Amino acid sequence: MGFYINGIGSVSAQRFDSRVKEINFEAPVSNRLSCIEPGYKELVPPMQLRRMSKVVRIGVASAKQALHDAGLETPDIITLGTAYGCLADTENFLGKLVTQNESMLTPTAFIQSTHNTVSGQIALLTNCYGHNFTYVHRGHSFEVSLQEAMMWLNEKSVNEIFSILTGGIDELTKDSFDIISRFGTYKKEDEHYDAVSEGTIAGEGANLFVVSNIKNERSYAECVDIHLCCSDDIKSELHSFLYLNAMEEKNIDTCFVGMNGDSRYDEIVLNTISSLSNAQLLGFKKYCGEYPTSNAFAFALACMVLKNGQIPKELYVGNVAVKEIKPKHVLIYNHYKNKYHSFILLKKI
Amino acid sequence: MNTNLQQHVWIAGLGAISSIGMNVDENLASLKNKQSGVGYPEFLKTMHTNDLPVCEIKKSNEELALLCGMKNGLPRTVYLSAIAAMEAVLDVRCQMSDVRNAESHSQLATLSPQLTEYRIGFISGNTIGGMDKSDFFYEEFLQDKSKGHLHDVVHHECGSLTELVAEHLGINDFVTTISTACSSSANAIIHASRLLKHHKLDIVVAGGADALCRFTLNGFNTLMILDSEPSKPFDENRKGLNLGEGAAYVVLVSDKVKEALGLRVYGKVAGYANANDAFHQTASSAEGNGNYKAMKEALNMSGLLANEIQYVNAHGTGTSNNDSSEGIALQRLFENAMPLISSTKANTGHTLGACGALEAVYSCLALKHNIVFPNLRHETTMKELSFTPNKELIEDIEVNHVMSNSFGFGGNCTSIIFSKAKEKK
Repeated sequence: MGFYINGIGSVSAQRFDSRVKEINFEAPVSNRLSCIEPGYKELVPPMQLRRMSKVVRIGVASAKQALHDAGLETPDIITLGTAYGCLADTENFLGKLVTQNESMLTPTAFIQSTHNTVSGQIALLTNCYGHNFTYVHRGHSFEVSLQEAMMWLNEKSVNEIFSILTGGIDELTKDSFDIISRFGTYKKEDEHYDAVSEGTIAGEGANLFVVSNIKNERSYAECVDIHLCCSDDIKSELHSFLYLNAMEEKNIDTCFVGMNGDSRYDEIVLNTISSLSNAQLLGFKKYCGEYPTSNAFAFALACMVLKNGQIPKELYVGNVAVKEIKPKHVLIYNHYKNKYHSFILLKKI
Repeated sequence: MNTNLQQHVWIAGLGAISSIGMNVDENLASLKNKQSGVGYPEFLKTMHTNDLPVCEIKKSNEELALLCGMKNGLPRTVYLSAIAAMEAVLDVRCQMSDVRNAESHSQLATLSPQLTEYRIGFISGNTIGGMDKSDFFYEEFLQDKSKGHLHDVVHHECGSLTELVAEHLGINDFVTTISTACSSSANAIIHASRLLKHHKLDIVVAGGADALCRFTLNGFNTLMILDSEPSKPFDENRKGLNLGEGAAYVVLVSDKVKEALGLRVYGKVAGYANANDAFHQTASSAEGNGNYKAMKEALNMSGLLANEIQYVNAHGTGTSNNDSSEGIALQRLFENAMPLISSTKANTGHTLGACGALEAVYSCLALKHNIVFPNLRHETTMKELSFTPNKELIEDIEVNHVMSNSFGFGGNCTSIIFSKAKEKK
C-alpha cells in the first residue's frame, strides 16, 4: 500500500519553492556545490540558531518548511537518514582533542556531534514526542528511513490520519571535501560537470518530507513502493520491483536517474534502465551534487514534477526531450558508488 | 491494512561481549557473581589513564581480530561487533543438523545453506563508527592535508562497520545501521522486529557495538557526568557513569522460521516503543516524560498489565539526571506495583551504542534462567524515589516478562518488553 507526500522542505544548491512550477536551475561552476541556506529568521529562534552547525540549521529549516508546506505544526513521528551525521561538530571536537591533547575541552561540539542531533533538535522545536529514528547507512540512509515511514503508514487504519517527517540530510565540510577528494571521488577543480572524466561533483543538502497515509488537497504525489538493494544484478531487481507493483517497464513515462557525471558509472547506470522503453530520462545530481542522501533531492523533484505536470528542461538527460509528456508514473533509480542501488515508484494522484 | 502484523518475533540466538565476559556464558556468570569490569584503561590510549575508570575489554585489537578471524587494522568496534554477532548466529546454528559437519568455528558462525533460503538481515547500532582510527588520521591530517593514512579514515562512517561484519557473516539481503546515541542498538531490535512483522525479512541479526575511544571518553568528561569511582546507579550519592565497551546481538526469527527449523527460543519481543522527551539535547525532563511514554507504549503493545512485569533492566547510567528521571517515570508507570529493578551498568559500564542490545541479552537470560540480576554498589535510596533497586541475585522466582530501557542524547527513549514463550496447550 502506498502513501502520500503532503509537504516538501528542501535546502539544496538550488533555490526553489516546491509549490511554484518554474525553477531556475543554476549549473555548477566547480567540482563542489554548497547548499544555499535559507533566511532562518522565521524558522529557528536566533538564540538556538547561533549554536547550530550547518547540518543542524539546514535540517531544522527544511523540517520547518516541510511541515509548513503540509499545514502541520508537529509530525506524529520522525525518521531521518544521514550518512555522515554532524561532520563539522565532529571535526571541531576531534580537532581540539588532538591539538589540545585531551585538555581544556568544551562540551557543545561533542553534544552536537551525535548522529541523531538533527532529528532530536527537530523534535525539540516542533514538540514531537513520537518515535524518532536516524539511519546512518551510507548510500541507503535516506531510502531506509523512507521505507520505515512506509511500514509505519501501512500499520495505520484509514480512520487515523498519521503524518511522518522523513528525509535525507548530509553536509559537506572543507575537511570532508579534502578527505573524500583523496579517494579520487571528485572531478578536478576546474572541470565541468558534463566533462567526460572520472569523478563527480561534491554536494550536500537537506530534503525533508511530510508523508501520510491520507491524501489531501496539498498532496504532491503517491509513493507506491521503495526497493533498495546491493546486488550485482540490478536489472532483474528492477524487473521484479515493477512486477511486484503490477507495473510494466513500458508504463514508466519518466525516470530520474542517479547519473553523477562520473565516466566510470554513467554508462552502467543507463544500461540498468535500458528496458524502460518509453521513459523520459531526467538527471538531478548536476544540480545537487553527489552525496549519500542526494536521492532525497530527486524525491523532491519527482513529487513536484508529478504535481505540476511539467518537467523543467534543464533536467533532461542530454538536454533533449524525447517527447512532450505529462508525467504519470515516475521511477527514481539512484545508485551511490555503484553499490547502493534503489528504486522508488511514484504515481500521479 | 494489507499487512498481517500478528507475526511473532522470536529470539532464537544470543551473543555478547563486554568487560565482564567474552561471551554470553561469561557475562551471565559475572552478573550472578556480582563482578564488575571497572578499572583504569590499559588498551585505550588516553591521557586519562589514572583519573577516569572505564569498563574495558582486556584484549588488544590484534587479539580481538584473531578471535573473529578478521584482518588487522580495522576499528575496534568491528571486532567487538563481529565476535558477538558470530556467537549469536552460532547459538542458532548449534540447533541445526549440518553443524556436525562444519570444519571450523568461523565456518560455524556464518550461514549454512539451510539458512540462506530465508531472507536474512543484519541491523546494527553504533554511535562512533571508526572514530578510534579517524583519531589517528586526523592528527596527521590537521598538520598537512595530504597526510594521514586513508585506510585509517575509510571506515569512519557508522554504516561501514555494519557492512564489514555483515560481509563476514555472509548476510546481504538487508543490512542497515541506526545511530540514535545510547538507544542505538535497542532501536536496531525495534527496526528488526518491524521488518519481521511486515514480512520483509525472515531472520534478523540485530544489536549493536561500541568500543571505547578518546572521542567519547573526553566528550562525556566535558559534560562532567563521569564518575571518578565505580558508578552507583540509583544511589542517592551517585556521581556519574563509567564508560564501557562491548557488543551484543540477538537473532530474531519469524513464526515460519521457528517452526520450519524447530528452533528453541529464549522468548519473544512482546512490545516495543521509541519516544522523544523533546526537552533538551542531552538532559532528560525531570518527570521523565519521554521515558514514561516509551515504557507505557511498549506495555500497551505487549497487551500486558504493568503488574505482570517482574523485572526491569533499567537504563540506570548512574548520572544524577538519568536515574532521577527514569526512576520517577518508573514510579509513574508502576505506581504501587513496583517490579524488581536493577541496572547492570554498574557491572558493564555504559556501553553506549551497545547497551540496549547487551541489556536485551541480559533480559533474555533473566527469562531463561528465572533470575533477577543485582544492582551493584547501592547504599542509599534516592530521596525523590520510593523504591530501592534489587541488590541481590534472586533465583527463586519465575520471570515471564522483562522490560529493558535505553535512553539517549537527542531525547531518544526506548523501551522493549521480552516475554517467555508460552508452551503450546
